[in-house]
Formats: sequence, structure tokens, C-alpha cells
Amino acid sequence: MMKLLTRPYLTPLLLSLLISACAGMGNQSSLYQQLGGQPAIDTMVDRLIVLHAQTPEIQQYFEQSNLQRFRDKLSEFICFISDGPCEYSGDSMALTHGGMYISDREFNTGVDLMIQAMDDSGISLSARNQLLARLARLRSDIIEQ
Amino acid sequence: MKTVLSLLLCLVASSALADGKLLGTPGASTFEGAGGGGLVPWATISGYGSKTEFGGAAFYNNVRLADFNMDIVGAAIGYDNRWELSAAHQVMEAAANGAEMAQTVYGAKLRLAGDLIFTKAPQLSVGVQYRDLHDPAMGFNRGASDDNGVDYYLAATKMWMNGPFHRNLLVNLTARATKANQTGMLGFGSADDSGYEFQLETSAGLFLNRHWAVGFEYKQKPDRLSQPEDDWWNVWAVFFANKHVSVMAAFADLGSIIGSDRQRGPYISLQFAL
Ligand code: HEM
Repeated sequence: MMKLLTRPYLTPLLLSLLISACAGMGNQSSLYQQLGGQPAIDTMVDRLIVLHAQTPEIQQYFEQSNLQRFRDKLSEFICFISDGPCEYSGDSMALTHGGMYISDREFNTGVDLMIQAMDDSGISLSARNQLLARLARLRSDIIEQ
Repeated sequence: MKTVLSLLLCLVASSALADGKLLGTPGASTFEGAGGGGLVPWATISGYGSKTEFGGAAFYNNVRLADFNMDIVGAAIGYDNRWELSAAHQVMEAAANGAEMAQTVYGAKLRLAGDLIFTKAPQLSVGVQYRDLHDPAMGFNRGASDDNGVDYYLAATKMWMNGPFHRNLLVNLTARATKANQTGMLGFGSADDSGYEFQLETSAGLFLNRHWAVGFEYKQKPDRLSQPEDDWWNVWAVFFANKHVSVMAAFADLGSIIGSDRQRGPYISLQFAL
């Protein structure tokens, strides 16, 4: 019984504490600033559009799309979701992606390309992970519907 | 064992290349073949297959302890990011006299619920492992009562994209019911106690960047033969070169093994995944 009370289950507990402790402190600047502001976000979105075009399984979805609109709305959306000085004027994630039946795999591929695009645009790992954590919450609005 | 490997080769040949998971998120191959860390199986399903896709992993693992050398080959197949079948062949050799302990571990795992990253609740899986000890003499001499056994486990694994230092953090907790002595290398049960023991295992890892992760693991073990056995732990670093090749290097402490104390040393595992 004594053995049962030792280390293993303490790890998740301690780490959860650590996470909640860390969440409160650290960088005071907004995620938008950490990403590098609008210039970096625009660079990233442009890069993403190129990567989409090179990836058939994603490209097929954009065949009928107005890329200029996509570019503007996505850029605005990322500005908005990273606490930047923008109002998002596009459609909701559910409305936009509803009816597309984007699969789990395609969603992950999309995220992979976003990571790549951020990497290529010189966005730091820490800003990237914060943005990804925010985008990850949107998954259920985007896939399989 | 051979069937598993050839099945995996078929998958490669059929080139239904799965890469529906993010780099590193299927984890590594455990020394028992199941997907996870090095010592502890996770709720993750081996390979990069997502829904309705196949994936898989094959690995070679070597552990060099003060008085023993352990060589392991194994493979796992994942389907639908829900099912996993695995097999591993383990040989542990005593450096002093070449005495060998060997067993094959077959495993099956089923993801019950959740997604490692995208759900609030952790990913939850149940698993069974059937262990078949090749030469039970060493175990029987020390009081083991059986040369094969079945383990059951429940694993919960969660990854936070924005963990400490804004890095991806993975935490795993596994509860196991087992009769195995030294994970089966010394047989199962003992003359006066052949029931299941409940053990906890844990892993935690931090992705330093897309390719590198570091962490540690702790694995409780029963202790019921004439010579003592200890809980195991390790600290590890893993490098995911891409979705097909990864290397895990660890320092493992396997405690006391058949009377030799302080069995610790380097652990290296090379994995090929799809
Ligand atoms: C976290 C992931 C994603 C985010 C944040 C996101 C965001 C957006 C935004 C803001 C728009 C513009 C909406 C508008 O025009 O009002 C959009 C459009 C679009 N998205 Fe996504 N998206 C994501 C994932 C995906 C994936 C994985 C696919 C396909 C595989 C996809 C396919 C599309 C398409 C085709 C359009 C254009 C729709 C049209 O032409 O009207 N998105 N997305």
C-alpha cells in the first residue's frame, strides 16, 4: 500500500499545478505583439496560401474560393484571436467550414502547414504554440461537419 | 513476430502513407512494443494514421546495464487512430555468463475516448499484453509460478500545446494490473501469491521544439520473488527527424535484477514509423 502512495500519480498532479502557476505569469505583451504584429501575420498567411496550393488534399477545398477574401479574412481572424487591434468581419468557423466535411487527417495537415508557415515567417516557437493552443479549440467547429 | 513485421512492410509497400497526426504526437515505441514512452505505454496509438487510416512503427531497442544487456525488436500497427496491435521480442543477457532471459510480448490497445490534443479530457485507452516467457527456469528457480501472463492497463494521456515555457507538454498516467516478475522476464506470480497487483506508471515530456522532446518516466513493479526487484525509472530525450524516423536516448535505472543491484545505464531506441 505504501508503494501505491509513492511517486507515479504525483507527477500529473505536480505538473498540473505547475501549468496553472505558469499560466498566470510571464510575458505581459499581447500574443499579437509576440507574433510580430500585422506584418508577420500577413507574411504567414501568404506563405500558408502557397503551402495550401502545393498540397493537393488541402488545395481541392480552395478550388472555388476567392483567395483574396480568404487572405484578408484569415489575416484579420488571426489578428483578432491573438488579441490584436482587429474586429473579425468574416463568417464564423462553423458557418465557413460547415458542409466541407474536413476530415481529422486534413485538419491535422492544415495545422502542419500552419506550423510550417509560421516557421517560415520567423514567428517564435513560444508565440506559435500560444496561437496553436487558441486555434486548437476551434477544431470541433471546423472538422467533420 | 515475423507476421507483424511483414504486415508492416506490406503497409509500406501499399504506400497508403499516413501522416494524419502532428509530428511526434504518436510518441515512441515502448520496450514492450506498445506505443508510448520508453517504459510506459500511453493512450496514443502507434504510427501517424488518423481516422480510417493504417499506421505503424517498428523499432530496435538496446539497454546496456552494469551486468546485463537487453536487445529488443518489435513492431506495432495502428488503425483508425483507435486500434493498436503490437509485438516485441526481448532478450536480456547476463554479461558475466551469457545466461539469457527472453520473452515475447503481444499487445492490443483500444482508444476509448478523447484526443491527445484537441479535447479537454485526456485521451483514454485500455490495453492488454500477453507475455510468453521462453525459458522459465530462472523465474521458477526464484519462486515464480507461471511462464506466461496477461496484463491489463488503462492509460490517460494529454498534451497541452501551450504548456510551461509555451512549449508542448505531455503527461501520461497508466494503471496496470499485472502478475509479472521483472516485467515477465522472471515469470509470473509466485507460489504464495499468484493474484494481480495494481501498479501505477507515469511519464511526462516537454517538446523543446518540433523535433526534440525531453522527459522522464516512472514505473511501479511488483516485488514478490526471493530476490528483490525495484521500480524502474528513466530520463529521456527523443529526436523526431521526421514522421518516419526517430531516436530515443535515455538513462534508465532498472534497480536490482536477480541479485545484482544498481542496474542502470544507457537506453537507446531507434524507431521507423508510418
Ligand atoms: C485552425 C484551423 C483553421 C482556421 C482558423 C481557419 C480559418 C478560416 C477563415 C478565417 C476563413 C475565412 C472565412 C470567411 O471567408 O469569412 C476560412 C476559409 C476557408 N477555410 Fe479555413 N480554417 C482552418 C482550417 C481549415 C482547413 C483544415 C481547411 C481545409 C482542409 C479549411 C478550408 C477553408 C476553405 C476552403 C475556406 C474558404 C471558404 C470560401 O471560399 O468561402 N480551413 N478558414
